[in-house]
Amino acid sequence: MQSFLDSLKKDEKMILILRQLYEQFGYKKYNMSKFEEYSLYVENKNFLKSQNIVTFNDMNGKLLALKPDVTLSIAKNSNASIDNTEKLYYIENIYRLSKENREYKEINQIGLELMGDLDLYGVSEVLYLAITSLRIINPDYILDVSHMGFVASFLDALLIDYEAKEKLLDCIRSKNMHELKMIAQKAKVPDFYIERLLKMVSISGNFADGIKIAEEIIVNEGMKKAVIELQELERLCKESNYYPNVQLDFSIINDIDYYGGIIFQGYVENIPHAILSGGRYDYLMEKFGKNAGAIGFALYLDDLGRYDKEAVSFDVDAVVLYDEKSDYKALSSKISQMREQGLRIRMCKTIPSDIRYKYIYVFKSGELEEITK
Amino acid sequence: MITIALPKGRLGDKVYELFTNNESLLESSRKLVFESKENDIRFLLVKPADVAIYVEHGAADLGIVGKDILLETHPEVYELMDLNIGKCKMAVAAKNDYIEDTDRTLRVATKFVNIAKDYYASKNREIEIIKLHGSVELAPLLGLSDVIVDIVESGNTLKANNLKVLTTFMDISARLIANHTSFKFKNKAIEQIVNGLTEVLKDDKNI
Repeated sequence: MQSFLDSLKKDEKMILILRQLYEQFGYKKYNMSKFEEYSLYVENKNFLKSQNIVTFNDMNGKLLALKPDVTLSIAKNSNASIDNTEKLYYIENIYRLSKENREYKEINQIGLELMGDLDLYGVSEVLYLAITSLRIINPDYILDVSHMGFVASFLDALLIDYEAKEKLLDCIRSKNMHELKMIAQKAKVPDFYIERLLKMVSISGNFADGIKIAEEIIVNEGMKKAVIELQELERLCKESNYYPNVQLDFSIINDIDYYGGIIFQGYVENIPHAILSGGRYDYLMEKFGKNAGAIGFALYLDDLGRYDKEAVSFDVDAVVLYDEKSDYKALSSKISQMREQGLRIRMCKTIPSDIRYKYIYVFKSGELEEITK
Repeated sequence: MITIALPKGRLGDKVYELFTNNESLLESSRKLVFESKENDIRFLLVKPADVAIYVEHGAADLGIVGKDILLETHPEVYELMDLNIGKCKMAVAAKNDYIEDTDRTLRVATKFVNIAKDYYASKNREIEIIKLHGSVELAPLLGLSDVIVDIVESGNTLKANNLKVLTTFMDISARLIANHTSFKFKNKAIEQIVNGLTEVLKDDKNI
């Protein structure tokens, strides 16, 4: 068995390990249909990263879509409320447009959602699970944390129009300080605020140091509330030994209409983009008329396989060569002994050219004889 | 080790000089990878339009790229610095005697499809894009398009082809971009490079 488990690809292995982790924390597996009514995505198009969705008609002419996102479906169908907390996890394929070749791509995701009466413990549990998931994938990981309420309250304070706000958000997202300054000046934002905006964008790295800077640039109640939440989280993180890997970075921006609290993104070394992304989406629950808080994250599994350095080196453990004259009974008893030990055995008459094997044996006069390659 | 993708051509040469104290790239050399051992930096020479792709996919940690390409392709990278070199403008140009017929769909020839679309969308003008890969100036001369949207530096090419600038709508210059993951895992080294470049650019009065 162990030999078989070792031979799995990284993304396959991770599914098993992460499932065990989430189950141990009492999360229940949630299985859903591949399709969803298209109207769900029209009504909540800003929640999605891309607006391109694969659609088709069902037999009754209803317009359906292949899911581009899991959280929307879970939030819509959830029975969670303040009195009923739900903890769910899922492994699903989603369909999104690939930016590079303008074709639809199937993406394998594993993720979890906590919905209901959300307290600091709940938030830190989800954060802990996100961190642990990253750590299992690669001990060299970083979790960037931000607070949507902080950024949104700050932008509200600037009293600028929608277009300028969108442009500023773009600059914050790409840490583009030179253009941020220009756009803010053009929108007649006072220097007092510009200075603070630039400070906010410059924050990256150490959690506690970042919060100190964030504290200095508070201009309204919303930002203050966000900083207090971040401080509480920082305190919780400090008590754990994964503290150095959690960083503050306000360049993570999710849609303001859906996310209101903590948001985060996870990176591991050698994968050029974020592989984990999540956050607190209380506003989305509100839109669906649910009286509950919610937080969750998703991990993109496809990328793990693609950038895996320790790819599988053997397809089978051993190749056993036999011929027509072999004593089948003796042969099969020998082979089943080996299979019981957990080895993967391929029996053939000639050496196969398209598989990689560790050992090769010839079955001769009732015995297996190893031959060197 | 930090890997930096440089655009082949004048801009890449200039930036390489900035990094290596005026040591210039050997024009004749066909090598595409250069290493600077003392700075622990590796340079890749790639097509200007590909720089952002190398950085977005993590094949390079940093890259030097024109703002025009960033606006055209919207890669997911951090834009850390405006180097204020390779300055030019995005412009609309047409034949010297051209007068716009506002009653018709405007035919626009350009290499920068998305930039042209965004610009005319903001003007609410209906256009038809003709995508070309080079020698865009020919299009209005041959009646292929009414106007072109292209980069203008000195305006000499336009003049030589009896074209004039109708309007400029965007300042372009070289930017330093960084891959998301590299920015986090190699933060110290990248910060050093940013500070170093800021210093050199301050001293460099020729720019």
